[in-house]
Amino acid sequence: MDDEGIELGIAHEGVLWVKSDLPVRTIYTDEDGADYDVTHIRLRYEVIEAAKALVHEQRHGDETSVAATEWKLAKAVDALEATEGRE
Amino acid sequence: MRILGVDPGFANFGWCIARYDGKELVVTGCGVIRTEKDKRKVLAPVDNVERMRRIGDELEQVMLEVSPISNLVERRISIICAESMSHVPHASSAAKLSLAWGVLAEASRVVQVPILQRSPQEIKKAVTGSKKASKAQMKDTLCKQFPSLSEPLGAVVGSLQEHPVDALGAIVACLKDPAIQMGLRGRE
Repeated sequence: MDDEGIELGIAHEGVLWVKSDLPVRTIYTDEDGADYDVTHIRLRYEVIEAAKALVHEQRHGDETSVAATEWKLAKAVDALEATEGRE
Repeated sequence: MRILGVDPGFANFGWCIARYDGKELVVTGCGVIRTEKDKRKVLAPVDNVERMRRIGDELEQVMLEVSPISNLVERRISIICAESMSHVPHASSAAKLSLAWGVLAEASRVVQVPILQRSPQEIKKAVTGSKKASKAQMKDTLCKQFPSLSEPLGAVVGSLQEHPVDALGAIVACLKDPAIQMGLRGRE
């Protein structure tokens, strides 16, 4: 967790990249000096979560719930891909 | 303890299974789950879902060791060690990589096995002593250190060998992790 209350990067259990409602497009610099755009990381996290939900629904859900999660995943991917060139 | 190492990717998802008793690490299998973009005119979201399904199905086979005689699951993995997602320069690549991570995250939830993550630099350092080691150095070092890697790695096409190599590297980098140490103690 950094000074701004943004937890991101490597979580040792599970796949958590950003835990924050804090500012969009904040730049976080890690210990190696690399800059991470928090918005970008948050969008990646949303794709991971949507993909995870889809795999779950494919096994346990019905046609409607699978279609709904597929739609959510496509939206999450679109949102992330829309940042192309702004990463 | 049976450990799964992974180098998640959407086109090439590297994996490596190893047995570890606290002293010796023996590689029992490795490979690459491959998916390709459908060359026909298929909507990208539809194609992505199909590729995710393929990764999920193959990953499930890798995670469960099924007896060829009884057809029952003999051994499950205890832990997953992964090369963490680096900062991919292009959003479209990041999206594809995130899809692979989503499949992995759900697989780990289903088998109730935690994912330990190490950055590419941490993995290189743990294996070779240098954060900037090349892919060739990684492969040479791991093949020398773990002779059991050579046979399963030989079955992987040369240009794809870096993926199971990185997956084994992730395992090596995680060996001292408290989760693995506790897992070993629990078996004593």
